[in-house]
Amino acid sequence: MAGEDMKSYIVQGFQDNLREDGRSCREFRPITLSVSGLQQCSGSARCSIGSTQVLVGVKVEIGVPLEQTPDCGGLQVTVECSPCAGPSYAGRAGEELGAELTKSLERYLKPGSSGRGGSLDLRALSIVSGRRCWILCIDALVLAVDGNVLDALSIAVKAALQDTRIPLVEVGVTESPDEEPELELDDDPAHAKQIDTSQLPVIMTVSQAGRAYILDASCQEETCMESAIQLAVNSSGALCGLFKRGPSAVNPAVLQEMMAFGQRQGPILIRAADSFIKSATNVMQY
Amino acid sequence: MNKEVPSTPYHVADRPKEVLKGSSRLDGRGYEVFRNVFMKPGTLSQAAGSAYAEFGNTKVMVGVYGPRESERREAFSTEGRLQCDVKIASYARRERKGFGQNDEERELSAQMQTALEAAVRLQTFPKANVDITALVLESGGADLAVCICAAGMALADAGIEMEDMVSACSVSRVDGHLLLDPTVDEACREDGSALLAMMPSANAVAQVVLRGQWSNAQASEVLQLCMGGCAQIDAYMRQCLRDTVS
Repeated sequence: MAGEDMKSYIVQGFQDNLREDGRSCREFRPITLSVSGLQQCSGSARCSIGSTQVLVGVKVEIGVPLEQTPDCGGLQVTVECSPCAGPSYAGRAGEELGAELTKSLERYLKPGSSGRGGSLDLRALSIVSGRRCWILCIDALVLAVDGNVLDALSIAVKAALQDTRIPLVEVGVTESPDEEPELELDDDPAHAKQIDTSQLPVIMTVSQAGRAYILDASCQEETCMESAIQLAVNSSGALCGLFKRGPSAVNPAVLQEMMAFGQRQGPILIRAADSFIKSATNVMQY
Repeated sequence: MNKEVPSTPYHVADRPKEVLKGSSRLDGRGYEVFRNVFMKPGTLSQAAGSAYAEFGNTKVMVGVYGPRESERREAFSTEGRLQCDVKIASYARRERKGFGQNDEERELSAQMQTALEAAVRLQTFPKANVDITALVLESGGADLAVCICAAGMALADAGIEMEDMVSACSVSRVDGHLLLDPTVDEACREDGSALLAMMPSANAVAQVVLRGQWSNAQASEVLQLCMGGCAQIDAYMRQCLRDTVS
């Protein structure tokens, strides 16, 4: 924990576009990303930003669609915090952080009760309307915490979904519509489908202290911020969700400036992540 | 322990297929009009402060207890703590809610806490706790916004120092139209939603949540609409408090 003097020193630095580790306000720490690391998953990714590190695995299952959305597949998100992720994450505190991060991911990934408004198009996961669908299980593990965990998670989720292959299913013809459909799975990986992630957003957390906005706050910097917004931004810079955190209230004009700032920076990060996944080098340049 | 008996719920009423009729809504309101609003402070005798709020069919009661000693052992802090707890009655919704706190209640509690923490002057009660409990008796849409309004009024009733009164409102986007203060049926048809908690006199946003895709123009339109809504509710809340005092 930073003391009061340290806090005001850090905040003063932000106003001059200077940070402890030499970054400017809009700079991220080095990001590394690797995909397909987990053998047992349909898709996986590991992302680290500075010393924050997260691991995301996607598994697919066949299930029954919800009654109110018969044409949509299912989506299940869980985030767990490793008890050794930071000094205070053993036991309850880790569980609470995990639950909060789960909600934050669900908020932009999952559609509302109408089945619309989510960032993932779950209709593509339907197999037989009202009877069978694919269920995506996104399981994330926070391995180490040094600030900005949610941004790291959102990058890893996007990469893991991009990496996910869903096997092709053939639906047998049934005589009457009441009969249970017979499904045949095609094991050939060459026939597997991919999920369309081109419009999937990442989260940009924009933190504010005084008149300065910063991206990618470290653990210490997070304790100095007045407020922060979590902005879901897709590759074209469109706003896909917004959530305010932090103890202080913010002026509406400042809020709009922070939104515009995040919307400018989001697409740059996504482009960097996309070209990284194509090139398969180890450190992502952002 | 009782085993769950498998059952099929019986719904008293069906959801309407359409929620927009021409240029008005099913209940005859215009797009930017609140439901009937009724609020009353001081409804619970045992609480330090309390309020009851009714927005159409959404009915909420809130009690504020404290400042008092924390029940949990917690580290020393120079600031006071707020502890929010939102509970939804098991009969509040179309689907019966099971026993115990679920994820949604936890989420509502956390969001209410963010909204109120921005307003309450926590430094005025160091080391102590203020507990705010909200009970949703009937869930008719925009539950969280109504809870925040009622909690703001209950805090004022309890005489807890705040920077400003907090009020909140929600908007649903249905077929491209922005509907202020949506009912449950409207929220079930939405493809985007917004919640804003404001301190209108201080001109500061205490909590904001946007879901779904928003163009920049529509995002600022919806924020403007919410800010106008919050100002309206704020004026009503102040009038209510004044009436109670005199």
